[in-house]
Amino acid sequence: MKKTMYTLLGLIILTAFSVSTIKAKDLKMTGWPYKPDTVTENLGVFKSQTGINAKFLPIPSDSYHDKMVSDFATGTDFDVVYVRDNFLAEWASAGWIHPIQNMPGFDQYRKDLSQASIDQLSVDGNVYGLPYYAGMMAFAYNADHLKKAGIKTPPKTWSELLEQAKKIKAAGISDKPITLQLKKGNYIIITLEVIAAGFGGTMFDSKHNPTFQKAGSAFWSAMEWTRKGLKAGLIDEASLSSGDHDVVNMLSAGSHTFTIVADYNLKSMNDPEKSKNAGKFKNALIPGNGKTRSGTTSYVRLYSITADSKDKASSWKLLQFLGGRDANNEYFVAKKWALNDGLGFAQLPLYEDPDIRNSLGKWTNPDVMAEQSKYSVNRGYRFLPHFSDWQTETWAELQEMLMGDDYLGGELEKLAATWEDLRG
Amino acid sequence: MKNNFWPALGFLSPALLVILATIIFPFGYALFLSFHKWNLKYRSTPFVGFKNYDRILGSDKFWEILGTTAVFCVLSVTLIMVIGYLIALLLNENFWGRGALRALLLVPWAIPEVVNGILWKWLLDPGFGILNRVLISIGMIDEYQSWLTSMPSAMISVVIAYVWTHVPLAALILLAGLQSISKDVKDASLVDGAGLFHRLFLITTPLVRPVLVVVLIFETIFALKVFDVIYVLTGGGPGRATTVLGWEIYSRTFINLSFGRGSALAMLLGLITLTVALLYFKFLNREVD
Repeated sequence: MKKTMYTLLGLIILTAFSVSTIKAKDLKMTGWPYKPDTVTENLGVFKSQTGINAKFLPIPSDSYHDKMVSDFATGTDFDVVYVRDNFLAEWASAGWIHPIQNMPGFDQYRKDLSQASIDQLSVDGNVYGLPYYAGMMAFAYNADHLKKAGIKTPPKTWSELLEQAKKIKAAGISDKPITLQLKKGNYIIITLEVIAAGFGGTMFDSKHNPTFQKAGSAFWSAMEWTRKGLKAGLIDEASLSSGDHDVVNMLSAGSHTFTIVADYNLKSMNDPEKSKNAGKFKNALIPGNGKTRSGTTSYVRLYSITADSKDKASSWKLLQFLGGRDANNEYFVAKKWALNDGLGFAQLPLYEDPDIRNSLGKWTNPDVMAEQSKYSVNRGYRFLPHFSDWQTETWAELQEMLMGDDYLGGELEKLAATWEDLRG
Repeated sequence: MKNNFWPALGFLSPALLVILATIIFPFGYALFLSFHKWNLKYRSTPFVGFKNYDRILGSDKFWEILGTTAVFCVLSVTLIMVIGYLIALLLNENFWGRGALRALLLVPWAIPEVVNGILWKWLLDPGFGILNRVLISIGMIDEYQSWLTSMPSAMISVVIAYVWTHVPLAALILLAGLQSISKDVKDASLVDGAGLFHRLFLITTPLVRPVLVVVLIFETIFALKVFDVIYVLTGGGPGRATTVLGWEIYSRTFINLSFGRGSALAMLLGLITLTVALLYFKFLNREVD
């Protein structure tokens, strides 16, 4: 009897030990390396609130997608990952990330997020994450350059933008006043989408049929305008190898006047510790074409739980801490990103937060931002699983079209045919 | 003989296992993938026979990329061979500081190719690169140029960056070849009154030809499969202007995640490399009279 009791006790201790060992296992999170120290600091707060240890092991931005895909294919160790909207559909369709709409307490987030945001977090009706940050593309300019060139107001149309750039160049203020993100990769297509939005349209119709190849379409006009600017030397040719950091650095250094960037970049451009020309940068509405007042694209980056995560309950806690409410029922992490780094957010209650309202006004014009957000175009085509396949086919072609003189129709028709082929 | 087979196999097995795991298996697996529609994003991976090869060979894009690869290869291998041979000839002479110069020659070779690419990217930067500054200060250009986003400067820049790091290896191997030529041959040619050009083209070069062929084959293989410098400097751009086969294999495999098509491209590159190497052997590796 005594022996049986000891055996039973031993088994209970062993089981308890095993459970505690499993629970004590660290969660692993990865993403691109934006402010890794802040992320680690946040994870420290998470541990103090929940007792769960989580580690952040970032992967360089440029190789993030490729490394994660090979990691997923071989069975990932990560529990939580950052996801960009342009590969959300791919990862969700492949079954690499876990839907969260049935997780306990998810419904509160449905109320705190707009339907547009929920749509951007979803694929085929399943929600795959909570927002890391959200925002839109904004038009930034160096107000000092405009003043020196005798220009009173920022451009309202694309042709006016080229006119102003010509004046600034002629005045010797900047050799190539416009810099854009036209580097091969997501950059070029995102930038052209924004310009197309300013010309009053997108690349596809509401049923995801291509319209970009039609002469006179918004995208066609965007291509022609960019080509014209490059040829005239008003858009810097280096744009073809520039991404977001490059254009922010160029404006911050004072060598360029205009750019299109994600809205949060204005904070660092106006930060004296990071920018030689801090305080000179303003945001205006992205130009229109006369008929269309403005246009932009918005985005949501998200945190997702991997399908391979062995501890989904803890991962869900971590996901909520990062993209939802913490143990004190506050949007601690999203608010911190917004206040300290100017990251945009999708959590609606934060718009009412007085700290945030006060902070935004220091580096951007919140009224312009609010108006700009009304001109955001729908890009549902980005959530089709074949979009990522298709867009990789476009990068080199679009660059070649921008550099060349050939009739745009031929190459754009080929890209439209590729779309149909992949969709078929 | 029979008695020695198993012990010999036992001794060789560690090396054989390494070869099997690192060369034969990956090669066989890549060949296997190339006959499948194998994309990581899709669960089904059907056998498609030669369809991947058919689609590649039937696309204009492939031939354009092959042309770009050939241009890169011819330019870079020619420069490496000429500059490498000239440096080797120089270092084969006796002069003060020869030892130091030989050691310095190794520096570019010792730099990893990615680091080399980053270094050149900074030198060529359109905003603050030193090349622009130097050329403006000596009046060769009026305004800063974006070397990596226009043609032909993007290709020239990539070739220069590549040649800079590959010349030392070629020069060192050629120097070893030159030093293996008997001093008697050189002395005899001097006694016979042979001039500099006669000695170089009729005596030295024919004697060092086997080494030249080896270097030529190595450098051609390296150039055909170039990737690192393209990855860092241009990403195959602007447009597809510097898209070589090595980059396309990476792009197809790791960006599109199409491992089937990427493997088929890799097989084709392997075949092209093998053909070029065999042609070199056939036409250049003749006995010296």
